[in-house]
Amino acid sequence: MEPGGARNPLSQLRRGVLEYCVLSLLADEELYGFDLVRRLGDVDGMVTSEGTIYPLLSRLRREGWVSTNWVESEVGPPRRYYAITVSGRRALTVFIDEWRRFRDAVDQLLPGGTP
Amino acid sequence: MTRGIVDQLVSDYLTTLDRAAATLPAHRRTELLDEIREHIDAARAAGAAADEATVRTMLDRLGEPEEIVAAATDDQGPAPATLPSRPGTGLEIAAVLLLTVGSIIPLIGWAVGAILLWSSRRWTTRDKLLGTLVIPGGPAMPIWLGPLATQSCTGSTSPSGAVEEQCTGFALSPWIGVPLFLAALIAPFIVAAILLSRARASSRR
Repeated sequence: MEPGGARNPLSQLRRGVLEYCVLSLLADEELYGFDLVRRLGDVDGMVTSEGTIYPLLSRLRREGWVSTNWVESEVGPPRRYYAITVSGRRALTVFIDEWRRFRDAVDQLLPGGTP
Repeated sequence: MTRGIVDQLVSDYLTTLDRAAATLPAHRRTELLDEIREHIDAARAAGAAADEATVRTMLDRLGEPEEIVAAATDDQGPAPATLPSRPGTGLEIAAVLLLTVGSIIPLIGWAVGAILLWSSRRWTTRDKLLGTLVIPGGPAMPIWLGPLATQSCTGSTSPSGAVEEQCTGFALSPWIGVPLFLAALIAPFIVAAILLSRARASSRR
């Protein structure tokens, strides 16, 4: 956890972007919560604590961007799978365009950027 | 033995999380606990947390319980109670009801309706004048005034033999009286409908 904790602007930025990374991972396939969290956690610099992804998923569900369904498991209890919804896809498409423009803009302004 | 330590680590972690999550609404707290428990179970089922070292790593990756609860608090959004609430149109509805059907209660019903009408901030002065002037006393007014508009005459024969007629009230031809009566009855309801739709429109602004 970086200094400043959750109020740190960089961690706010990361969290804001993280939800679209979740949507992006779900764009191709439904994922089991644990697998989804692990995939995000495995990307260096993306998530500082995997547990914080669950509240995020619950918010995405309340926003209607993600849906969950229980799937029977051969080992152990039923598993919660996450899937992207139509409005989630729409939000992702909008974000991808905006993000590319934003990323290019920041790169242009930072030292070593190409104006 | 290892199993004992592993179980202990997990149950300590969940206890701390549960305690930290006490600030969340009950259903959110339960949901969060369920999800984290499920995550831990899945990790153990996948063999990613078989011994003490791997369990510690798994719990480290999950993060501090306080941090997870802080994220859950942020993701909750503002509490519903703090959202600005739009004032209802209860006063306006009461005013319109009293000005129309309330006028059945002689004078008081309509008068209270008129007071409410003028105390609302949803209507313009023009609306208020319209509501007051169409029709003072409300639709019940013609019912109360109706008897006055009928003429009653008593005839008597004077000693000189001439017939004298004495009449009270004023005569109104039924061709004018009946439509006027109906108009006075219906107009306040039309005005009421206009007032209600204006109140609704101004509450959306």
